[in-house]
Amino acid sequence: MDMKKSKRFLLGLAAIYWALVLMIYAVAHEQFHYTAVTSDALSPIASIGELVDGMEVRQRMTVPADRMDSLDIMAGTYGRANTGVLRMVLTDEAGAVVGQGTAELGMFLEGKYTTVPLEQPVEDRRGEKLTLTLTTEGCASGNALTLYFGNTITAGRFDIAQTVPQDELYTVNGETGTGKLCIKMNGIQVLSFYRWYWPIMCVLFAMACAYVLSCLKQAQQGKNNPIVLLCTTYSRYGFLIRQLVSRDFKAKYKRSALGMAWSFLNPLLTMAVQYIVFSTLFKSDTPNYPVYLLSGIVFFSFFSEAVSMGMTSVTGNASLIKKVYMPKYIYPVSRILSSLVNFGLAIIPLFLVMLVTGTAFTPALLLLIFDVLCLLGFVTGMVLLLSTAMTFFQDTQFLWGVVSMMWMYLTPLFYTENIIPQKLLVFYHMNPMYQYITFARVCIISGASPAPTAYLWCVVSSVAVLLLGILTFKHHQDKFALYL
Amino acid sequence: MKTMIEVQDVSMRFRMANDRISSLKEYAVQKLSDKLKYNEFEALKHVSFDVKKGEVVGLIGHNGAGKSTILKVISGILKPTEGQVRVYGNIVPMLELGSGFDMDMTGRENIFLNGAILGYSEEFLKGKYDEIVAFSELSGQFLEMPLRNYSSGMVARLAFSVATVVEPEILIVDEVLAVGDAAFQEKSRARMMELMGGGTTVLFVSHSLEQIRQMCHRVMWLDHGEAKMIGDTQSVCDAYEG
Repeated sequence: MDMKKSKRFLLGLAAIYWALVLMIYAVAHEQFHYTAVTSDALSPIASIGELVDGMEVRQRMTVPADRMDSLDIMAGTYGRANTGVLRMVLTDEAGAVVGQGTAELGMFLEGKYTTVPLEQPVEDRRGEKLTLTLTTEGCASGNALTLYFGNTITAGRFDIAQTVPQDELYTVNGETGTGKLCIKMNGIQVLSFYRWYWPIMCVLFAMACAYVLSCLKQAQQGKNNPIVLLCTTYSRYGFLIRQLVSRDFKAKYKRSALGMAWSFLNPLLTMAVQYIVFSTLFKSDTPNYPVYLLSGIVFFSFFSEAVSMGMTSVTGNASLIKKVYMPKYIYPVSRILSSLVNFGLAIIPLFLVMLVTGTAFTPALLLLIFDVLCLLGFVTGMVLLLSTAMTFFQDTQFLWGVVSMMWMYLTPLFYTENIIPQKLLVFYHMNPMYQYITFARVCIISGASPAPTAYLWCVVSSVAVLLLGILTFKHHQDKFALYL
Repeated sequence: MKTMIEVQDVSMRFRMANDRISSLKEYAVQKLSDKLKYNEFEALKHVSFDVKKGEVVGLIGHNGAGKSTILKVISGILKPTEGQVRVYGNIVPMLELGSGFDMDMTGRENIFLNGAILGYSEEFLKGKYDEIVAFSELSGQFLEMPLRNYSSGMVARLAFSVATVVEPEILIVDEVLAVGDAAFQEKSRARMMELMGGGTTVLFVSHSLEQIRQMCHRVMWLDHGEAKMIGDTQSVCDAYEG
């Protein structure tokens, strides 16, 4: 083992780790600290009629978050410019006033939610039931607004909507109505994860360091272990891997007139076709649909290309494996790296489309590095698993054709997840590809960091599949030469 | 004298199903109908020997005696079912030349690709590039052409040139590689002799007893996977012929 190169390599890994940790912190610390919470929305069915002076509308509601800052109220204006003031008072069970706010009637738009801030945020009342009392000043018939109510909570397309419980029906001057007002509460939830971020990252690093050091010590006594293997791969086979990657790349576009341009064109054309089909035929109203679509396509096609190419890497190089010794993982790894280069090229049209559609470039895009690393781990695990299976059973390849198509439809590439029944969403979210793609979309389209749980999901699914792949491959690799 | 290769009690068993099963469906059907039987085939049976530094050791035996299998075991391609192989030093196995060539790539690209597959470093290849080209006798215009436009002799010459540019500590040769036209054959033979004479440890398989007698210090006779005789060239070759 080349000590100098190995040291440089390990230091490089440590630097990448800290760069990621710092970057995630810089971009995402607010999302780690708080998460925004909004209570469920109701589908409006009717209005309560004009709300004039002397009327008192009451609504009981449950506080959804640790801190509540504002209310979203859906009002009707009867299509006129009303004047006057809407007063809101929040009282607790004991009758004490815990919060209040006022809004000019002119702020409200017909049938739209309008945010009305509270004078003081309501703190530490999470889960408590508060009563909201609404009154007006300066309103009479002909110059007043109305409030909408509903009796079902909006749900996914296939879900039976929930009915509103008895004690949450609104009252007008003490008379109980037939639904709940369309009012949402906005607040933020303080996350304890914030406090744990640095300790967890430091402990992880210390553990990794201890492991590497013990491995290096063992290595000096001539024992083999994963760290030594990693270093030799880098120092001894780095050149070979580069050669194999450049061969794959050259071979792919050899004898094609446009050559490398296909790496950009392919995702762009796919997007164009799907965009036309789904935005005109199916009337998708997803905001920023081109970017939504293309980010899904680029990420998923990296996965499907890398896996389908990688799984044949062992069988495809049978003649080499039987004649020259080199570590067998070189073949799948170099294939995955070729696909990664392709993926890097496919990102360029994604940025172009972002420019064209006017999507903002935010620091959150840096988080994509984390996402891609997780995806890479997952893909590597899958490739190692399937190329092992492929060596023993050739039909893995045909099975994979079907499975990858199913997988594609199970991942929200061209549709949004709100067409999935609520009950099945838990299973739906277990799809690692869903996690990686959603993560990327949050970074790209919303320009914000995903919730801490999204990070956790990405890391866990990636590491689990990677380990499974490595162990399976390692266990069977000695038999490869006999079955090829 | 330093030991370069240590082969201890190596056995190699292949498990061959009645008919090679390569699909999941077949596997399931056969397994369920209890037809899945394996024939054990022992390619090597408890073979032990070692090779010292600078020795040229010949391997002789009939077809299927296990000569190629032992070379594959030593070069690490196959893992023995039993026993251990220890190798001290870098091996260049010349089992089949040019197996890493890509017909769609140019000669130049293939020199680097094949060199990398044989385990050479980038600096080494860059330094030796001219030497490789000179030895292969390929002209500049061919080097920038895809390999599929080469004649088979040219491919073989390039392969030989890449493979023999190193001076490995251990060289494993399966049959002497006589490639190309008569002149190049002579040149390649001379190069092999040079390598073998230069203090390199060589494991050498050949069906030509003449060559074996000429070049080897010691010879091992393999018969149906067993080491029938190991000893000095003269006596083993005589016994084999007799």
